[in-house]
Amino acid sequence: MSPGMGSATTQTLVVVAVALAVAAGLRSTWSP
Amino acid sequence: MLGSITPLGERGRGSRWWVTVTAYVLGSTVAGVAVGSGLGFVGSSVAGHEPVTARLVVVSLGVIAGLLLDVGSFGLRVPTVRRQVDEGWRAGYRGWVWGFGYGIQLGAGVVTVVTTSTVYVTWLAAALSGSAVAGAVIGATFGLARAIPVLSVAGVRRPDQLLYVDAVLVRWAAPARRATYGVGAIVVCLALLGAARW
Repeated sequence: MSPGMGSATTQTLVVVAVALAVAAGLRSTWSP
Repeated sequence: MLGSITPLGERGRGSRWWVTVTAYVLGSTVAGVAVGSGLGFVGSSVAGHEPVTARLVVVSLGVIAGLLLDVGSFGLRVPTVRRQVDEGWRAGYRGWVWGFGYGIQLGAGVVTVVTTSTVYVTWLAAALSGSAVAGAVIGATFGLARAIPVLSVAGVRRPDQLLYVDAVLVRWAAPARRATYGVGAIVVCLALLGAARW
């Protein structure tokens, strides 16, 4: 695997995680 | 929580709303960064050696399992502590103190009631991100997203306005829940596409 390929997958992972973080944070507004 | 930090309430306690809110957002972000970077650092020694594609698959499976819990499949529910922030702090401490304290607790995500599995999967993703820096970015995003909605009550200066905000929150509760499911589904698709492509 080339460094570039690794970088792309890592970026995908971080993008996925950031999307989850936004959803989790906003959804928690409805916590009791 | 939104109803706890309003200009109306802060005026009644002799505090400045923007000071309390700034401390709250700061505390939430700091907690998110601390948890995210900590998990990223710890996870880097283990998950950092695994292929990123495998980690994407694990996150996808985590999201799917979480969504099943969120919709109550098999009679199961999202595990959570029952603890909430101490309401007494608002009467006993200055605004910036309890604001920061509330922010720290809520920004950590899991020390008060957890309403969605995406909180757990976010921290799972931070642990699998491979570095403390990536974990910090993920955590900061969570902390900010957790706290920023408080700005929506910036105009609440009368009790009837607070009641209106409560009504809006009730009206948006179900759409917000469905939107979270939708984001989860999109994230799974994106992660699996990423894993398959590389």
